[in-house]
Amino acid sequence: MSGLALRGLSKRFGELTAVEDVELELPEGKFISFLGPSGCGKTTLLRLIAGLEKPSAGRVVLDGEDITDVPTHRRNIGMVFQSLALFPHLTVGENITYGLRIRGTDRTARRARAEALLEAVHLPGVAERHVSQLSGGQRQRVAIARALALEPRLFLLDEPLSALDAKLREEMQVELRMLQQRLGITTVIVTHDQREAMTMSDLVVVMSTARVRQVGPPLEIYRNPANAFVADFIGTSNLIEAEVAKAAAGDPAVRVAGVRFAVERLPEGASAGDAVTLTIRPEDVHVLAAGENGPNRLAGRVSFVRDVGVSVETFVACDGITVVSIASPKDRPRVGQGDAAVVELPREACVVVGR
Amino acid sequence: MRLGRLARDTFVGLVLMTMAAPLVVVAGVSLNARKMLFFPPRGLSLHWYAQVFEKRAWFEALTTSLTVAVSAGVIALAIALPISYALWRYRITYARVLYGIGMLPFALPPVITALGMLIFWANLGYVGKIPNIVIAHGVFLVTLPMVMISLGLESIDHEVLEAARIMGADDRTAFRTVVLPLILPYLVAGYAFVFVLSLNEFIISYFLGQFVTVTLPVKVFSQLRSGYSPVIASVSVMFILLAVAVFGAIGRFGDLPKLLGAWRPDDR
Amino acid sequence: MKAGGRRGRLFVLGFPSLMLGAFFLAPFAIMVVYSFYHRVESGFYEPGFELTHYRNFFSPLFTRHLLISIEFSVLAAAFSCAIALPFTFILSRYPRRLQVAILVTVLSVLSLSEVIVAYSWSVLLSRPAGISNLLVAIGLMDRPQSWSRGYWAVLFGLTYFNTPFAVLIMFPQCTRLEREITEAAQTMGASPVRTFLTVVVPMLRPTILSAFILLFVFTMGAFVTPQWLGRPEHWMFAILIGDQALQRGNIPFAAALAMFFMVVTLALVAITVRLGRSQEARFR
Repeated sequence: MSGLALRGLSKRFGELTAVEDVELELPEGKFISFLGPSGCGKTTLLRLIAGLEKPSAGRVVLDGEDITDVPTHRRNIGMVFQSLALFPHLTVGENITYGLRIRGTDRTARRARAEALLEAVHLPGVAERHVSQLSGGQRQRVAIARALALEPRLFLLDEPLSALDAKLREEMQVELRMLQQRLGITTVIVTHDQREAMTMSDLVVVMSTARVRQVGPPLEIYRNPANAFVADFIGTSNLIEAEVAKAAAGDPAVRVAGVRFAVERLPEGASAGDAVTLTIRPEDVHVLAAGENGPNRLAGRVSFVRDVGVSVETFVACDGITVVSIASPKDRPRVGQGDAAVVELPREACVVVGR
Repeated sequence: MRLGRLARDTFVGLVLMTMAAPLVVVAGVSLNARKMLFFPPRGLSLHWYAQVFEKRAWFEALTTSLTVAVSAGVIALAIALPISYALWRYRITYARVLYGIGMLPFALPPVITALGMLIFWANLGYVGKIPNIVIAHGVFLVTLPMVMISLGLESIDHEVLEAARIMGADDRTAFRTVVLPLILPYLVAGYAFVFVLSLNEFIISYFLGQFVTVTLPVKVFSQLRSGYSPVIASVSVMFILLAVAVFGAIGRFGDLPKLLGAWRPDDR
Repeated sequence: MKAGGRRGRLFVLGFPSLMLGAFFLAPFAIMVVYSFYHRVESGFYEPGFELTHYRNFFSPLFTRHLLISIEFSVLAAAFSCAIALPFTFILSRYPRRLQVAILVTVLSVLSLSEVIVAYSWSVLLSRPAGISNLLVAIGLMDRPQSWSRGYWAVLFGLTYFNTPFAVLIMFPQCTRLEREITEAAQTMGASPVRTFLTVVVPMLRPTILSAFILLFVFTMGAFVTPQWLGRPEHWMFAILIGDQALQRGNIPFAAALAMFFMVVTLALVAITVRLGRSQEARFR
């Protein structure tokens, strides 16, 4: 049984619960993101995996071995900290081979390894320099090289790219991903930037308030959010109050502002009259001219139009609910601000989650 | 891993115990009913504590020490505050010079300062009086409050002062209403330190007092020369309790680590 | 900039200037002058200019006491730094409540008079009331012994007196040592002890050096401790100065001794600072 398993992991700091009952099976060799807003517990969870915090309850199992009671310095993990935590009193090369020195590797071997790692992170020849002489992006790479020096079983990164400027950030995202794929090492990255998580990961773990809300590949999470939080946090989404409609079997539907909307699926155990949330991505909403009625359509008035060049956002107020639609310039709706309009919420794009 | 933690805490515990050990013994000795130097004490009595207040020589020494300490604290602050403030607010070179001079007393062995002051006052024909010691302490102990107040001032964002100025406060008002409240903990802590240190200071008091004006530490010293008396122990305990009370109060009501220069990640 | 603002600023510094100038610098200057005065047999002295006193230094007696002062100071400073460093580092990582409690203890011990410290340890090391009684009770010793009045007693007392001071000097820098740096070392396989030796100590090198220098100077001024915990051969320089000034009334000589003492102390400090800087240079 390979990979990282977290069984009922919890961590409390006095009154505060940082992580609550986390149960995860993370496959080996994959790129995994812990994604969530500040304070959701993702960094604490990472630190629990690293052994830098002791769990209040639960076990951490790596490749079938229970490592919960193993101290950090014997877990053989590589970690990149948010502050990078490079040793200011050592050169770049000495930083990278710090762990090798502890293991007793001789000097020539260490030097060779440092060079090899620096090549791997596209930073050749800086081994003799001091950390203070490097730029932010260069230090980033040194931190990565250092974490990988001991060929660890796990590669953990705590918001590694948050200090970089946008362009560098995007470059590093690609590089990190490529590095990980080349090495095939199980990687967990903590981030609050969903674009980052979506771009880089094989698997995304969405967290909020100490709990895991959903686990799945990026696209899955985007298309089928499991609950209102995920729907709201990932991408932009319309969240529309609705209630389950009385329906014939095989024809699930909800009522929005009295109007019946057919949907693909209802949440488990939902019965007629239950309060639910209808979520739909703005890019799936169609804005049509007034009077074009039909199934899954709602009448309203355009309250606001925002043209940002690459896309057009149309806000339509329907009976107290605002529905947002995003379209590319060539599919711009033919109604303008103040006009009456009709929004269509196609059945296959509607995702209904519990309230 | 648990073993490591145990070892670590044991080490700290041992060091603390060694630090506190003499205090415990002295406390025990002071409670001894008999005059002999026994530990553990045989028979408990607060007799020796009463003696501090009853015996005239001891009581005078006590009041002298307190007078000196209270006054020296005021003088030390009166010297330290302007220097630190001028340096922080105006950055003039002269303030920097004064700051450097203010650091000197701590850098020199006290005996040198004591001798210098003795010669100075002897020349003026005015020795062995309380003001001698008060001024000497006020000057000698200026370093600590100066450093602490500077620390406190540094944590004030200059922009806060500018905001006050925009809203109409002149220099004096800004100082009174903005700076002073913000550095108050440092002022209080600085005073407390000078007070406690002055109370315990020996060398300068010894040199300048010339056995005419006697502070408590000097009395203990001379008493020990002539023969042991448990009153010495009870005086020691009183000093210890006072220090614990003062610093404990600061610890309880103030941010002691910050006052001592600690830095937390959420500080600027 | 208001007109008269400059004057106003300088005015603020009036009182401090007066105090420091009149009561610190002036006494100092007078002391320098006095060290050249002539000593009259009857016990007084008159203004003069002679180097007799300075010549008297180089007698074997004073040289011996100077050397032992330096020896004690170097050792006591080194020992107390060695103890204080791990202690303060661990302290900086403790939760706040515990930190405050320990700091209060340390501060209370620190504020104690040299008189009380020396007295307490002379009690603790004495025969009737000292630790040796405890060891007899446990069975590690046959008879209580007096450990006071000796070289090691003095050294111990000096180290003891220094340690709280060392803790306070090292405390600010220890708190500034980022937790993530020691955690990073741990992820790379360094045990806590190893982390301390290979990461913490090198990073705190400047602080350790400053602490050592400050403590060295501090210990050089020891007055009561060597008198009560040691024998006359262990008397340190400050005691000699006091002896000359107060017991023998030979103020000029005392002043000369004080100047000499200060010069030696400052010279040693300068050498240590220079050594420290060259080490840093080699580092880079």
